[in-house]
Amino acid sequence: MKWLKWIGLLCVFFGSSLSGQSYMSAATDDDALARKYAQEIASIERGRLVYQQACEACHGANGDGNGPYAEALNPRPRDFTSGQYKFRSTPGGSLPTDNDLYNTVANGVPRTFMPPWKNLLSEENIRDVVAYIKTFSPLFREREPETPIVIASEPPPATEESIFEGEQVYKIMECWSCHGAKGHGDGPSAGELEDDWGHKIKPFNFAIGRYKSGEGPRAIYKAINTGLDGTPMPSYREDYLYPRDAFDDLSNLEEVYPQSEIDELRQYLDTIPTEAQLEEMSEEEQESLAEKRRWALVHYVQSLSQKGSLLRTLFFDNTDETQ
Amino acid sequence: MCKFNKLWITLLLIFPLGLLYSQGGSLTGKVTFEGEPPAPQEVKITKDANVCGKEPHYDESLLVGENKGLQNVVVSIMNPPKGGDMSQLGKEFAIHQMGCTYTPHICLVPVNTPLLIYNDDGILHNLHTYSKKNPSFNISQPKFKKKVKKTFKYPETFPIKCDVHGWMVGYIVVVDHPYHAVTNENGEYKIEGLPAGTYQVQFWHEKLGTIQKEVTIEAGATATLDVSMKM
Ligand SMILES: [Cu+2]
Repeated sequence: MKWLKWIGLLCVFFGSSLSGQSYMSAATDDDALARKYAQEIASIERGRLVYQQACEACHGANGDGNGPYAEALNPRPRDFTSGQYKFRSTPGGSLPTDNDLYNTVANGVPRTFMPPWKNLLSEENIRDVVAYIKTFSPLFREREPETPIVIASEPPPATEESIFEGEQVYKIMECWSCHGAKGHGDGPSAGELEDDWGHKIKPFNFAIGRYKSGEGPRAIYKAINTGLDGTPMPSYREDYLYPRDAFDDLSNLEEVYPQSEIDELRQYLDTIPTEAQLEEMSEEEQESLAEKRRWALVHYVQSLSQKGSLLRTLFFDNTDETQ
Repeated sequence: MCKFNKLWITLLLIFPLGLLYSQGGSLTGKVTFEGEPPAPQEVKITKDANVCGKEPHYDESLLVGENKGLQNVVVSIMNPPKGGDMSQLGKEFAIHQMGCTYTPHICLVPVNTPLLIYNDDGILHNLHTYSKKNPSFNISQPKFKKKVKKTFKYPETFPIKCDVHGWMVGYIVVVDHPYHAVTNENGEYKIEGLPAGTYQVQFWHEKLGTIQKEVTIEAGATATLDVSMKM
């Protein structure tokens, strides 16, 4: 039985040396982690000072959007305690990324009282204030932001054909429910909308242009496909693979569209794949069809804002709108 | 021989006891509205009148039935016994959007279990949840999208709303044990399969808030717990 003792000893020896080694590497990991945390805490502390000077008057000392000036503002300042953000690159319901928050602070929000802070603050100032803003909601400690949605860096150009298709997508998705048949923000559901805080909110009038979520087709694409959290604007990303045979009844469009426009939609529907044809397509083919329709909708929405007059742009009505 | 007899006697003694225990008891009762129930409030249909307006809509946030029975109260055991059978709550969990209202108005669903949300109306609805522990969502469900599937990780009660039809409000109750019930149109409820013991019972109503009561259940017996709730 002597050999058993030896094996036992050997086990103890190797075991201890192994655990000793893992202890060593854990110590260096801990060091790196500790340094990372120390940097984060320093950034949050610097951010707090920036916040007190630049943000607190509107967003409040507690970050709840109830600063001394908040009452007079419409739209109201963001409440950071909820973790809900309109302008994100991430899917609906997700936290925003640090970059999303950075962009909103740096570029400001058009048609609101949020100025573009990049003119007044350094890049580091903004990074710090973003770190501080995140401390107002416990969600940033509990969850990670989801992966941002993919947006083509070179969007397809708008054509007459894509704008026509986009107009039909707009009818199919019933964007008109809130935004109205011509995109003037006057759809049948427009009157009674509220944001998650119970404040009245109006659907965006696309004729105005100057989107809160940023300029250009990629920003419009982002808003439609991630949704604007905390507002009635949902995410439409998964809804583009509609088949021809799902639209026998178009009578609900009669609420806002003349017959000629419904006939136009009927003509379009006659050209698209049926459910059986969709099922035969490969995943790539399906995705490229969905993506074509996503951009078509962007092109149509964009075409509506080009009709906006300078007068409207200068004397915009500053009640809150989604977008 | 003598030993064998003793074993039999012991088994015969234990068996009925075990049977009693495994049967468990149940809790039943009625929730009533205290005071004069307000008249039902009719909701104005502002959109999709030919789909939503087929039948009159009433404000569902306070439904009082016959003999003041209070509907849509969630009854929950707050100190549940371990190892309950989730299938007691049902096998499929679904909400239907039919005539622009959520059926059921209050939907129980176990954690990590698919909840199917159907659009039977063939018009646009959006599914907008106001959860805190589970990530909230706001997704569109256009006319061609018949079914949306969602699962929830954490137990929590939260509203689901449709912004297109502002009167559409329902509640999703995510649960991590099977000892829950929702009162019917007469205010009645029943929770089954409870082992003997003393339980804290919570009654939650979206408008009338929360009350808690204690109840003792004996093995194999049915305990009755009636409560009333007021504004
Ligand atoms: Cu609806």
